[in-house]
Amino acid sequence: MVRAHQIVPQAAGITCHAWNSTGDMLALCPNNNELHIYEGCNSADMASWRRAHVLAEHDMIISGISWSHANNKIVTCSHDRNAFVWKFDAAANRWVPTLCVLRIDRAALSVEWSPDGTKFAVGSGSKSVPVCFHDNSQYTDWYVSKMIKKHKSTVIQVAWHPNSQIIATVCSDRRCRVISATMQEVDATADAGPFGQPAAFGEVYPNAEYPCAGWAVAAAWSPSGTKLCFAAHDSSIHIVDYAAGGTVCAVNYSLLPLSAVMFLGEGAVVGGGHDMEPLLFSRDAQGGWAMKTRLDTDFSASRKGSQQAAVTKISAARAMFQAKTTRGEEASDGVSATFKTTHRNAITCIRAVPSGGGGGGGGGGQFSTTALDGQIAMWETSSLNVDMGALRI
Amino acid sequence: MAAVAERERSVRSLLHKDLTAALRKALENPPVGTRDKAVKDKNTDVVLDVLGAAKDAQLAPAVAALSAEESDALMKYVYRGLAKPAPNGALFRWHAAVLERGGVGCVVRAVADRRTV
Repeated sequence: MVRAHQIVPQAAGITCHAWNSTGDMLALCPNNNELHIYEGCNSADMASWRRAHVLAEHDMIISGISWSHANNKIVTCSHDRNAFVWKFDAAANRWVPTLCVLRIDRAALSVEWSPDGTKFAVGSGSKSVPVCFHDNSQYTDWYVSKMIKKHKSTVIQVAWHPNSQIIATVCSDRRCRVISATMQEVDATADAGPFGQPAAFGEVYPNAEYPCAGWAVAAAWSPSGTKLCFAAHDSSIHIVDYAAGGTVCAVNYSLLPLSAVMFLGEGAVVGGGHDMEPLLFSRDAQGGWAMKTRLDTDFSASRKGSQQAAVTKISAARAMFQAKTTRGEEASDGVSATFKTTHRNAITCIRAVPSGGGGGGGGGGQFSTTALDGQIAMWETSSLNVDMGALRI
Repeated sequence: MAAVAERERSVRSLLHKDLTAALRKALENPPVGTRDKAVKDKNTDVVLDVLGAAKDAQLAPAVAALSAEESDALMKYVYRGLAKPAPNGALFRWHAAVLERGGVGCVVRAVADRRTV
């Protein structure tokens, strides 16, 4: 049910990745200033994926990649405070960057295209969210930004509502906010999604500022846009259900914090983070939410008590670092054998894989995870469905 | 402060009869919102008295009887107690017991939460 490939060296790690609309191309950043684009990724043999382009326009680590499925453009943002939109020039067989005027004075940490591909939002350390759109009013070819300035600290991630006019931001001031990103320049009519009245650009929707105990670090909308999920650095996830009047269900689980979340349909959330394996959350019998399972250790042959496995993993990580420092080894077989998970370091990014992409899939959906161990792993959701019976995806 | 003093009296009366009840009473509504350090200190003393009075065999059943919120609060008090320059070996046994119940997520919450006890 899971296939993994060491796509970049373990010492490097992967900060983020993104798929194109047909799932045969993959963009990732190996924890440096380069954007790597792989081709042939619809092959089931992951070792045959071919690195076709290495784009080194940024000066520092690329912290976010988003590939628009509406117009096949890639946007990247980096700690160097810049973002580039990449367009493929088929005649010259190369990716051409376009500069974006972000107007931020701290690192950019994440970037996401709106689902309709007309604008993108950047989370940054300058306590603001530039929302950029292509400026075609003059004889220019660049992206200009409008600022959302409602945050008291670093905005770690942004997530677009499916209507492309609302964003959720998670911030290290321990708040998740839902903010209007409606723009006259690109949006014909204002749409308030699950809220009654459209707000002006940059305004937080009423009662849509959700507190949590730790930094808010990741957010995602459900496919219908009626549910919002955000994860915090206090090992909790919160699910806001707008179909039920905006009620918030908080789940404090017993493992380490997440750094990426994604909905699997309307009834399940998968999250990845410092536990090195995806965790699955779903509706419980009482209509609330609960952590359902860990996708690696709970399925492994040597099933252990959850606590025991967690402690083993920590000692395995310690053994790995010990091997690195005392013997200068990357990972001897003896050490790697002590890991019970596919990934051997924190998961940094989760993406849905377009159908047909990544090879395999077995008719069901897939999602991919990348981690700081340089591996990419493909997880089949259909097998989750079978294994977990009552799961309502 | 009066509420904490009241709590101290009821905890003391329970302490030698029913440790679990005393612990739950001590962890009820921890004063996380107040800026008065004296209140927090006093409440910490009440909780640590309970923790110090427990015998080893009582730890696991007492922790098992707590709700998720109470065990998170207990972990915060364990860390608060460990920060004190005092003989606190018993707190390590409590730490192990709470970790067994709440997992590392409980530790993460105790360390990350700004609503300190």
